[in-house]
Amino acid sequence: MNSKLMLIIKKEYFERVKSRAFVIGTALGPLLIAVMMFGPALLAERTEVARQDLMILDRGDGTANELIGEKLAGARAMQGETFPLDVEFEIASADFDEKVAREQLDDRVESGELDGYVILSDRFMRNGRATYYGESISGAIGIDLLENYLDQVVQEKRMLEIGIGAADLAEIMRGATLEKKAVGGEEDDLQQRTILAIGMIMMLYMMMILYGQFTMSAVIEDKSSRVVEVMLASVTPNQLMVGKVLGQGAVGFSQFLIWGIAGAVFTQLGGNVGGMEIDFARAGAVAWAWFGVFFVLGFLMYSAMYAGVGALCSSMQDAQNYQFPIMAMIIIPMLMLAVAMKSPDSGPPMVMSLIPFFTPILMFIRVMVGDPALWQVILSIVLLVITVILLMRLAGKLFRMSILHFGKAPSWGEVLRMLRAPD
Amino acid sequence: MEPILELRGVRKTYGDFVAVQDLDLSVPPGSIYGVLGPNGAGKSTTIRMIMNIYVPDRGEILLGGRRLDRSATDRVAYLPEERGLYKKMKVREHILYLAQLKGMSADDAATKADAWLERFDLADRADAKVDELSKGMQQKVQFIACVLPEPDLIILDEPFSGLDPINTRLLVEIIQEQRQAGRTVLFSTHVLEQAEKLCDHIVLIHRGNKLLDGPLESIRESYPVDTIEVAGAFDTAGLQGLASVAKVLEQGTRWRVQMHEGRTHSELLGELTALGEVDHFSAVRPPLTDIFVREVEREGLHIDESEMSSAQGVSA
Repeated sequence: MNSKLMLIIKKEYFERVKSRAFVIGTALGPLLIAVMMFGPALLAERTEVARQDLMILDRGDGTANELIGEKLAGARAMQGETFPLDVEFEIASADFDEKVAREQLDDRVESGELDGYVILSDRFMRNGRATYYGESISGAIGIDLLENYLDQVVQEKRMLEIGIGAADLAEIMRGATLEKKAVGGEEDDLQQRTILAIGMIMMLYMMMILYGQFTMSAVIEDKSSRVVEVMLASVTPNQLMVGKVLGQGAVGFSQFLIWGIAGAVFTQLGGNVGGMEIDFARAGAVAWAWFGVFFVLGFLMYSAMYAGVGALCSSMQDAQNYQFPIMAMIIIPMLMLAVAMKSPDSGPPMVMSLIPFFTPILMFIRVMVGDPALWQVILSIVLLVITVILLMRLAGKLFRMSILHFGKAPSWGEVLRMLRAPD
Repeated sequence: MEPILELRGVRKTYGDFVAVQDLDLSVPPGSIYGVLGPNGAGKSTTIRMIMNIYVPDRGEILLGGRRLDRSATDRVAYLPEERGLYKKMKVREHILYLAQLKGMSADDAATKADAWLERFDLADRADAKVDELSKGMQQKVQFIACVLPEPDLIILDEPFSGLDPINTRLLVEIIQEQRQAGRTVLFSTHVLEQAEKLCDHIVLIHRGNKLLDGPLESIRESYPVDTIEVAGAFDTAGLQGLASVAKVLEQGTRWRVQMHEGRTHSELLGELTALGEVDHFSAVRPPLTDIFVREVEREGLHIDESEMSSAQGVSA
């Protein structure tokens, strides 16, 4: 690499890296990742579990109440703070009047003191009859849970009655153990890979837009400050353009690296995404290699386009019009992402992943979650490389022809004429 | 001596507009060479072609006897008319950056940069950002960046435009100093009076056409001494009525008149004496502005108001 190009890359790199925007942005990244990874767990710890206050009124002699109480106590001891039921017990007095009692309890429910109450019939231990009165009778998780314990109490009572001993009872109640194993020895890789792929694609997408635009504004800055002609006295337009693209690219890569390391460190510290533990290493060297290939090529492709647009414009405002087609080309594959993830090797994602503008995102998701034919992958990369070279040339030409053009930005027609003009 | 820079039949058009028409130039080494002409004459286009920023439609440009190739040349310094600096860079850092882009080593550039900053009273601002400097100081930084690599040829496009009197003097000093050091300076200007004071050689361009080319002195001498400065007890109308006077060029406390061809100084003096008491009578070489106007007229071309006012520039 020649030394002038190196000088430009170094200048572009350090100028951006030392800027406040970069320092803040780079620091904010790991912060966001940390919030995403640790936030939900912290939040869950802090929030009170939605608890149901219930009351059980035993019209019998209180045996049922006692047994249910034991079951609940055992469950609460197992589950701890998050156990969702808070139950008070009462035994009906001799002069129990159901009507009066219900009126009182209904009042307590309406005032919000109770979520509901259960009346056990006086022969509950025999016939298992009970009635639940509650604010809401559908979707109340608490009462479903309680029903389990009521079941257990009457079932155990019957088993004891037919002569099954307490020890046998425990043995009978011991459940089955279901062990889960993936076929072929590979553990749940697809879900892992999908989450990783989405993360990587978000990164890819952000980098292409963000650093493409940085490249563009760096070019426009040269023009608007009129330093560009001074530069052209020492370097060729191509050196200037390539220097800017690579300099900004190196900045993007550094930032990505810092974020990646932060993410990996947080994962080691027990962070997770959406309850799933992410193991970066498990993604495998192959996934990272693909990411590297599509990251570099995608970045170069879009940067070349952005640099070309920058050369055409004298101010950021001018640039708005030209940016639209570039943005569209980045957004289209993002819109296809859902389809591509569901059926990565079906027709539309396959065809689109071969179009160079969409390859970095769509072919990447395909190699991550699908099983594309090798020739398709190779073809897409070859086409992408050709496109990158072609776009670099075209951008270089735009650069040469319009870098000293100040004032009104040229129309699309004029741009086409420039691109068609002989070298 | 072999010219340091030579243009042969160089032509540049933008669509139908001919910016530079088959231009031949030959810049002798060690000279101060002025490319002169009103705004829009094609001076900047010519310079950009020399700097390989524009490619001529045809013709060739030889630098030190060799054709320009794709790479930019390190032996030529260039100060464009529209010149800027990276605003966020520090002064010294910026000078070093531009010097290294001209192929200097970092150490060499650093030593020389410090000397120049010292000389231009910028040493204490070396670590200031460019946009913290006044415009005048930024201009000094641009001069330093230009001469620091000690190039063989220094090309300045309208270097005096926008300079305050102090920086104008500084630049004149630098230009003369560079010539003394054996370097060649080529600069363009539409202010002909400025060129008159500085240049050894000039080329006069008008609408892409070369009108005149050569050492300033011999150009001047090739003109008849037909411009006379007079003062005395007469008025402009009276002077215009004289048989020997072709036209009155300037009026004020003294008049400058141009004589008809074939008339002698004595004839004019006689006519003047008849008109009134003569206090002052001296023959002067025609100033560049006059030469320019005469050349344009001789070519049968005409000058627009705006071109004329720009050619005369600020009256010195």
